[in-house]
Amino acid sequence: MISLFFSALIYASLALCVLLSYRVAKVVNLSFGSIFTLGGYLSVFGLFITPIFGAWIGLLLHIGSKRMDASKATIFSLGIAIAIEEALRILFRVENILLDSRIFYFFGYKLVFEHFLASMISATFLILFLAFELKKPFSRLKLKVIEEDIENAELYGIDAEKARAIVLVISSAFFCSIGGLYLSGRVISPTIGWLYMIFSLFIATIANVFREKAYILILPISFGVCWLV
Amino acid sequence: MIGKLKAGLIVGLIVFLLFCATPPQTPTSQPQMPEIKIGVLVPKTGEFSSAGLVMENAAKLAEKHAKEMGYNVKVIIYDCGDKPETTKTAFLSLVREGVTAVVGTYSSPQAMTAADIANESKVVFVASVASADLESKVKTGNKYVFRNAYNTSYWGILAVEFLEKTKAKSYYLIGYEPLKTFNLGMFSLIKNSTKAEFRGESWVKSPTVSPEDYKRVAQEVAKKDVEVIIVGDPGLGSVDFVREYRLAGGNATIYSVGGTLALPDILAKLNISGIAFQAAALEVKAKTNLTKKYFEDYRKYYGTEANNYAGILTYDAILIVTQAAARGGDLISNLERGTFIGAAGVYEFDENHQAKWGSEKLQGTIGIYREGRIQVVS
Repeated sequence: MISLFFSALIYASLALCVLLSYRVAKVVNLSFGSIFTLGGYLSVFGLFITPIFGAWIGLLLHIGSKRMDASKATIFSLGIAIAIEEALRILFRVENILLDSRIFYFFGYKLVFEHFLASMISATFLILFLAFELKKPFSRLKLKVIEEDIENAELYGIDAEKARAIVLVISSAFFCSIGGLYLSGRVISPTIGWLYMIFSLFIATIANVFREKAYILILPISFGVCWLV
Repeated sequence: MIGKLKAGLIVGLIVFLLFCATPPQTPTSQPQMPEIKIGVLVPKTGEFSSAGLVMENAAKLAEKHAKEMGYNVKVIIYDCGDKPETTKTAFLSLVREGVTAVVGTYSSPQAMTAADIANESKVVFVASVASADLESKVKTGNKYVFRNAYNTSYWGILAVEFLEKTKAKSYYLIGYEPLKTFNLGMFSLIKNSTKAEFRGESWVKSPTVSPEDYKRVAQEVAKKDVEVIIVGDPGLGSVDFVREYRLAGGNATIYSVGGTLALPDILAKLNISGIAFQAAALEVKAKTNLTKKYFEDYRKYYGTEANNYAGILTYDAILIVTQAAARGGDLISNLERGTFIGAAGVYEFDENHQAKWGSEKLQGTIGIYREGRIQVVS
């Protein structure tokens, strides 16, 4: 049960990133899977570099797709995903890398330390976002206006492009960091991140049905989906 | 006038002598053997892509080694994905390229589809990984399909051999849903052939449906009192399962069908004692002069240890087709009657076009990782 709860936390935060990209940046960011994998490969050199590379790719995606409509931006993100995958194949050559991990005892349970850390970071990310949602009504309103219509948001003087850049940079940095931690102890290959992205996309799609309540309900939905499957 | 005639005669004589002195023209190169084009179906994308990369590397290595042996071979690699539909498209593309034969595919449904397309297009197909019931295709008149990989029975025979050798009293089966046909066939043979007590079975869902399902299964199985756990997943998930199983307190010996859990560097880094695995060949137990060359060159060119099943058997399938095609005449007759050297042993095919695994010159190997090194069980 405890590992189920930790997994649900991680998937909820990843799904939140997918949902924010879709609603605010207007892109179904298909590069998240490869960014997650990239985090795993980069963790070989040090975990601290994972958010930097993730943020850089998020910025690249923003700059490259800011003048595109949603469908073209989504295809552009797929292009980035394939480019990352191919780069990993070329740079790392070997097909199977087993990442290091450390064992950690949590109330008598044996856990992988890096997975535990990923869960804690995810929990913090969710709490911070919910605090933003509940405590900052004006910022929340701005986000809602962008989500509904970017042109309207610009008419109201909201810098939608800046919001888009922030969302893509933070979500990509987050995916890369969690990839670096959550893939620890696993054998990785350049395509492994797709599994996590598809699962997060699945949770985000269900949450999106609940429209305004989506961000609040994302954790219980993630828990329910993890438990069911 | 006479002087001019003399000069003409002298020049003519010189030209004649020069002509006679010119060595006869020799061909600059030996006449080339006709090119043997071999199509390889590799799952570069989809659920089996990690095995696909190994198969692709092994196919390129086979082409290189075949050329070194003097064969004029060209290997054409196509992505067959993880579904029968994508396999069909890739197979037909290879037929359009004019290949002599097609080798490869990964899962059983893919191999069954490839066998049907081989029959329709009259192009030989050699299944190098899948254990599907291809013999039934041959029995019903499809003479274009061969298999150099194990059939389901042999997978089961090896697992039973391990249970008998280790005198295990009980066992538990862990199936992998994307390879259900293969796992069910193998499990059925084990249940019917061993004296060890069957303590149950669990199935790990496809990671695309549930990436964490191995945790549920590992925690469930860790509570069972059992001596040997037989794992049917040759992919990356098997490592996740083993790690989670040990974390949950399970201490049974794990017998894996190979693949990722047969890689020496993975086993060394994982450093969990009591992981047994089957391999078509092991570097420490050379079967032909190609065994060592395959493992050494794979490491040299790709910077990693050779995968022991999907890779080596794809390598062997290409060499088998090359040797058969180079003999000239009908490829099918050559395959049916010939003897072919590969890295895993010496191949011959039975009346159902199945490689004679279990014969004296072609046997699988069982290894176990214990006390920091791989030991050969049989």
